[in-house]
Formats: sequence, C-alpha cells, structure tokens
Amino acid sequence: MIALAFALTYFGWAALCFAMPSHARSLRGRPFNQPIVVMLRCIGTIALLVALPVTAHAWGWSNGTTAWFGILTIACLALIGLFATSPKVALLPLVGLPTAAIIALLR
Amino acid sequence: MSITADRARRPTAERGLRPAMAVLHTWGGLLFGWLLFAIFVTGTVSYFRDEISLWMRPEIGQLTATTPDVAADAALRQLRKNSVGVRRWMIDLPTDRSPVTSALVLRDPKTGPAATRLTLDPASGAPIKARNTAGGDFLYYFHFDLYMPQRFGRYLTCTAAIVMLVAFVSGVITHRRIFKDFFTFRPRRGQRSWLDAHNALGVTALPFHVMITYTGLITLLPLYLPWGIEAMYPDGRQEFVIEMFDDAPPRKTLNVAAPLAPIAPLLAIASAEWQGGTVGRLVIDNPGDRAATIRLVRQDSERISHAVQSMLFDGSNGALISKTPVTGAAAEARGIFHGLHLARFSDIWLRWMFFISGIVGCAMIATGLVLWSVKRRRNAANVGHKIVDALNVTAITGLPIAIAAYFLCNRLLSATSPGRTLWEVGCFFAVWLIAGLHAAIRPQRDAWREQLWIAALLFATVPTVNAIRTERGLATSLVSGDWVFAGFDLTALATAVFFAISAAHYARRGEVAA
Repeated sequence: MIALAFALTYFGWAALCFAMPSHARSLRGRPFNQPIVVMLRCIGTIALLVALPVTAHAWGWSNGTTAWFGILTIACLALIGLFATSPKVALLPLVGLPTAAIIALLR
Repeated sequence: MSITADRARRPTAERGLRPAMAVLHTWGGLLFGWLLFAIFVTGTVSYFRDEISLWMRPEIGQLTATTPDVAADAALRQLRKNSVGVRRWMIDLPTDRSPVTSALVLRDPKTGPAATRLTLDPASGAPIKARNTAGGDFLYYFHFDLYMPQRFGRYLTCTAAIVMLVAFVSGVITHRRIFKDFFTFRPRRGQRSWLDAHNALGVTALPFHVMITYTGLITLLPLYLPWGIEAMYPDGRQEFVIEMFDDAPPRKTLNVAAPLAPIAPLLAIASAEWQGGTVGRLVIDNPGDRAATIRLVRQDSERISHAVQSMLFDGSNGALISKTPVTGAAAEARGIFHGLHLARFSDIWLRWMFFISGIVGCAMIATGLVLWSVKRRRNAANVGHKIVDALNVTAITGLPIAIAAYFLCNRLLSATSPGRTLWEVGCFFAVWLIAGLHAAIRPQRDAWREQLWIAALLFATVPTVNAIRTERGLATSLVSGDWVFAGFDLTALATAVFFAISAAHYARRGEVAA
C-alpha cells in the first residue's frame, strides 16, 4: 500500500511537471500541445488525490492524511532530484514504483 | 547602508509589498536562522528520542514483550520492597518503542533521596543496571529549552517560531518564482543552485514546515499567552494545571497502613473505558497508606491528540474517584496540535516520514543561510559578513559535529564513571564551542571543508566505536534483527556519507559551490 501511494504521487508530480512547458522542453525538446497539457494536469492532480484514500487504507484516516503529506513531500523531492540529474532518469521510477507496488500487493 | 542606497535608486514601483517582504525574510531569516537550525536539528533527531535513549544505554538488551498487567504487577512488587517514606511512584510501562519499565520514586527527603529513577525489567521487575545518561532526552529538551536557566530558552524558542512563521509568509511572497519554477533544481550554478534548493526544500515540505512551527508554538502557548488562563483562573495557575492535565495534588496521608488494591482489575476498567486503549503510566500517591490513590494514564501513542486521558482510583479499595471529563473543542484542538507536533502516534513508517520532513526543514534553513552569504560574496571582507560566515559554519556543521561527539562520548566514557551524564552534555557543548572557535579563526573556505570532513569522520566513528566498546556492533545487530541498534548505526553511517560527499563536492567545486 505504501509503495502504491508512492507510485501514485510520483506519477502525479511527474505528470504535473511535464505539463510545464520548460520541463517538457528539457525532456523532448518542445512543449506538449495544449490538450495534452490539460490532460497531464488533470491526470496528475487526480493521481495525487487518489493517493489519499490509499494512505487512509493503510493507516486509517487521521494518520493516513498525515502520511499522505509526507509521501507528497518525499515523492516531489525525489522527482526534483532525479529531474536535475537528467529528465530521462526521472522517468525510471514511473516504471519501477508501480512494479514495486504490484509486487508488494501480490505478496 | 547599501540597502538604503539600493532602494533610493529603484523606481517607485519596486517599493511595494515584495521588497518589503524580502527585507523581512532576509534579515529575520538570518538573525534567527542559526537558532532555528539548531531547534530543527535537535527536534528532528527527537523523533527517535526513545531509540536514541536505548542506543545510549546498551546494557538494556532486547527484552521480550509483556502485557501491561504483568509489567505493572512486576514493577509494583519490586517497588514495594523499599517503600519507606515514599510519597509517589510514577511508573511508565513498556511500549512498542521502549521495552523497559521506568519508575520514578519520590520520597520524603528525611527518609532518603528525594527522587530516584529506576529502570526495571518488564517481566520480572528486577532493576536493570545501565549506564547513566541523559540519552535522547537531552536533545529533546535542548530542542525547546536550549539548556538555558529559567524559561529563557523557551521564550527564545517561541520568538524563533514566530519569526519562522513570518519567514514562511514573507518567503512565499519574496521567492515569487517558486510556483513558476516548481520542480526546478539547477545544480552546479552557484547562487542559482542555492536559491533553487532553498525554494524546492521550502515549498515541497511547506505543509510540514507550517504545521510543525505552528504546533510547536501551540505546545508553549501558556508561556507567551498567559492572560487567558489568568483571566479564567484568577486563583493561580495550579488550578489550571489540575484541570488541564488532571493532576490533582495527593491527598493527605492518614498514617493508617493499608495494602494497595490489586492493579490488574483497575487496568481492565481503564482499558474498557478507553475502548480497548492501553494504560501507559501509573501514578501512585502515598502507597501503603489508607489515603493512597492510583491514577492510570492512557498511552499517548494511541491517538493523535495529546490531551491527557486518565482515571483516578482509591488506592486501598480500588473505587473509582474521578476520570478526565470529555474535553471541549478548544482543548481537543490543542491536544491534536500538540500531538501532531510530538508525533508519538506514528508507526515506524510515519516516524521516518516525519524525520525526513524534519531533515528537509533543516536543509531549507541551511541553504537559506548559505544563500545570504553567497549572494553578498563581494562584501566577504566585511567584519559583519565574516561573522555571518563563521556562525553559518558553527551552526550547520558545528552542531552535527557536537551531536556526534555526544554519542561518541557516551561510548568512550566508562559505563560506571560518576557524573558521566554531565560529562556527556559538557562534551557536546565543549565540542560545539571548539567548532565555533575553529570557524572564527580559519578562513571561511577552509573552515567549511575541514568541518565537513570532521563531521563525516566523527559520524563514521560512531558505529565503529560502538562495535568496539559494546557487544552490539552493526554486524551483530543486523544478524540478530536488533533494529534499534542497526537503525542507529546505519543512520550514523548515512550521515557520514552525506558529509563526505558534501566535503568532496565542496573541494572539487571550490568557490562557485561555496
């Protein structure tokens, strides 16, 4: 559950990040089209919000909300750090985290 | 001086809110930055207060868990053996984080030492011989008391917290690009990198920063806003304390001997009252007398709110005397804020998240302090600038060095040497003072480089010395699944690696990265 929350928040932040023209440019040389930008923003926001019931499921609502803020912070800083290394590296957890989440859920 | 000159040259449009906020943010942040850094570091470390205390008393081995009934019964059996002149027993039952029972015995000074602290085996009640140390409690109290006499430290902490809240608001206005530049960190770009880091660290953990500063202020509320309490309780603060913490003064002794009522049924009553909650603390006044009372206090790790829940029983016949009333909304809100600050409700995952958020806060303050200096590098020869640089080094690397020295001193001093608690604390302050002198004497660049390396070296030494001086080195603790010791040693190593990387980076980048 914790891995799933991290996967969702990281995905959400990444979507919001690439919706910004300057960051998209450093990834692929040019920004995304307006419709894709809107879509990325919606998906990103939804992913961040969906992580809340996930943490609530793992910790209960009061502790889960606290954990949600913590996970938001850590995922965002991880994205910023990886993105500074190279925008492509920042894409790796988009594969790695969901894999970890699936393994953790199946176990 | 240069500020006034700058302002005079600027067009009127720039004399608005933002420049005003920038001045507030820059100078408020600078003046209180060093203190805030120390408060944040010791506070962050205090999330693991119990674990640090356990590491600093390695004689307490890994103990098997017991039920509260067994632990309370065993402790009382042990304490009864020497109950001459006892006024109060305060017994803290073992928790998930701290496996021992700790007891505080308060005596009539005519019959023995006024206060004795005992560490008991939870299953047998036998005293555990462990070295004296202030442990994690020292760092915890330093966090808001600053080890100052009277309440001076607390007033300073309060002021710093208020400045911090001001710095948040003015910071969000000053660093106007934080949202436009969200997700941006441009490394190896000197001043730009420091600004990016300061913004990223500040904004990503902003909910935590605001929560922890505001709730921190709430914990000391009666100190700096006493007038409400004074108006409501004109007869003095004691009545407020009694009502707030349900801690009435003990009844008068009757000098009639009476055995204490069996404890297990009382624990069961309390547990039922709290819908399955557990008793964390027993406060027994006048044990052995007819006027004895037993107060059971709920463990504070079970709910977010830190508001006390307790039940008071007659000690001789076990009859319920009183229980904490249902609190009003304001008291409950205060309890939740206080609880959020202490984070005793957290499980290990949540605790680490708080710890990381705390580190982010420390890093935000540190980058802010460095940014001030980097931005004004052309004035580096000024006396004022030199003082700032020296204080930056003293706070940012000097304090971690002092903390490492505190841990090392715990292992190097003989376990039985008298007054070792004070020696450890003295070592902490002496090393910090030396770090400060070193920062003042050495040129700024050398001071940074040398102290970063020293910090790395000392934190790497902590697990090494632990492995030499105790039987619970990292290899052993990892194999035996002793996570308190393994976690402590691994965290120390990670800290060492962090400082070593910073030092290497600093040496390579030279002036630009400074």
